Amino acid sequence: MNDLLYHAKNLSKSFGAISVLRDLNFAAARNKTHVIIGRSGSGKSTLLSLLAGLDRPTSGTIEFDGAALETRCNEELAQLRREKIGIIFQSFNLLPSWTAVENVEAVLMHSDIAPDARRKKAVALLSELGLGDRLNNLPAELSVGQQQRVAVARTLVNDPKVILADEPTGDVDPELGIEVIKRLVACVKSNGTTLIIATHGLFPLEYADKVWELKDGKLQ
Amino acid sequence: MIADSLTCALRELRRRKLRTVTTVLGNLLAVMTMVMLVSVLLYSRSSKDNVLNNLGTHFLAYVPAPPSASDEGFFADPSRTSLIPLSTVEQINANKSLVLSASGFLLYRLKDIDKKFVHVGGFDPANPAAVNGSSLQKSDIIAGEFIAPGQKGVCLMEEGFALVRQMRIGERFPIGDKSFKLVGVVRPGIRPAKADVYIDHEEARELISTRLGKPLGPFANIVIVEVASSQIQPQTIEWVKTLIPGCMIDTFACYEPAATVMSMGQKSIGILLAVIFAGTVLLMARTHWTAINERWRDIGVLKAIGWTNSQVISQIMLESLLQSAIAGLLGGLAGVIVLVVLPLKNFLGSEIAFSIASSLQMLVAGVVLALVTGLLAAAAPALAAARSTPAESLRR
Repeated sequence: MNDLLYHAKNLSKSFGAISVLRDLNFAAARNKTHVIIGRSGSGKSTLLSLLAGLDRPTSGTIEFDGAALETRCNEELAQLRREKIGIIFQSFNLLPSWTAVENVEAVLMHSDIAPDARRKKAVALLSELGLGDRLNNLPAELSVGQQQRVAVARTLVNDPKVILADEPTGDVDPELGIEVIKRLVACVKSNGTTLIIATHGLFPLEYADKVWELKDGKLQ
Repeated sequence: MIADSLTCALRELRRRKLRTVTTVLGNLLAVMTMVMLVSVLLYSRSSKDNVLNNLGTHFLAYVPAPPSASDEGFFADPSRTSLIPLSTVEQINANKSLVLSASGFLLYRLKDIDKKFVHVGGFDPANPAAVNGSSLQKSDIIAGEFIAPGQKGVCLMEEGFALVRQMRIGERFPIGDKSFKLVGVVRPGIRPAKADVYIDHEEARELISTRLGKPLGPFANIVIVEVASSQIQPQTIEWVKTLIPGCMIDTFACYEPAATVMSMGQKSIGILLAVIFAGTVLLMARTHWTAINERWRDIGVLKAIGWTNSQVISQIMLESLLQSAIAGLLGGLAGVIVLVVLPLKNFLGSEIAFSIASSLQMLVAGVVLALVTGLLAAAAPALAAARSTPAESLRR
């Protein structure tokens, strides 16, 4: 098995006339924590979208787990995200009309796992994150920190190969931010997960194995 | 997969009460309006058709006979006629696809005791064809009353004849060797078969047999036919001509404008129905489109966490179908209830009763329409959501 989980060559992404990412070439090793830092609007979220298969590059290639990502059809990309990729969004993007446990369970729906088993798994994970008494609360009834933990649980529930986190500490107080980062890093260590975090704020770089700076559409 | 989609769809509808109620209400109003408008339109058309059907749908058939030296005999208008077997009348009567009813009519001219001509009409008061326009009908009575089926020894008299003969209700009028009590005076207006005096057909048969000096037998000299609809009048006339070779047809020409008006009415109703259906579909589509557009971001999230396009589409479709089914059923029911409560018959001045059965058909049509529309209306935004990448959905 290749040591590289991601391998991007000449990766570019434009929105109309606006070129956001230009000829990026990078590789992300397995079981490592990668941090992409950059100013707001520098293209970090766009890069994570490409890595998650949420969007398609304008040009260039991305290999994930040894196979090209950009040539896969939508159904294959969906399956990949369901089985191997966990995403933490900048604003968490929890489904507002679904409870905490339902939000976590959503990832396992339409899979072979029985309803009871997936409910147990979601409950166990949320309880582990200290939300055992908030299982049936809607996102609007949770604090920002609690919402973030639901988002983390949703990301971890399918035991992904990679976690793509977009500003995971952006909306919470520093203490809670560190706690979340520690949890994600622990996941890298214990489960052999790869972690790619995009951030514009302060990030305790001692947790990072690799740091990239995204500036003017290029990685430095 | 369907079980998961159904669970999620029900959850969405339950949790987003306001949006669900708004969507259902929008669709409910659309279906209710459609059911009411279409029902009223169809009922109005039936009422109008009923009036037009009764206009000019009668005709007489008789076989002209050669002139004779005798003044007495069977006549139709100014012509002498031959006799037609009653079995032919029965044969015509049996064809319900063309004929509403047919009746034999006896129109016999004789001289009364004062040597004056009298045209005697023998009709069957129980037969709708005989009393519905070709000779006379109950509404033609201007004094006294109509002959009841089976009533013997009585007669009706044409207004002008009664005036000339100075006859009043209750007086007896001699015809041949019998006399008949005048029970009603009629003003039939312009009709193909008019007599001076009308009596029951059985009594007319006896009277004529006496005049002829032999039994008349199962014959009539005129066949009165009431056609099922103005639109099939020409076809029915041609068919009767084949049954009675050499026959002449006397009819009002009203069936032609009546048939034209009916045809125009049906076309305009068709256009109106198409407009109402299109309006309902668009209104419902708009409601669904609004509801789904609000969820664009949620759709992006579901796709981001691994839901496939078909899973997203099936959930959206199920939500729309559930809402449409509820709206279709409630809207249809509300429409039917309003129609039942509303005194439509009086509003329209119609002679036919409003049929609840057609409203129930509309209820079923409303539910089906709501389901199909819900499906189509949801399909467009669902496919649009499926076509976009998850990143595009999340950015909206």
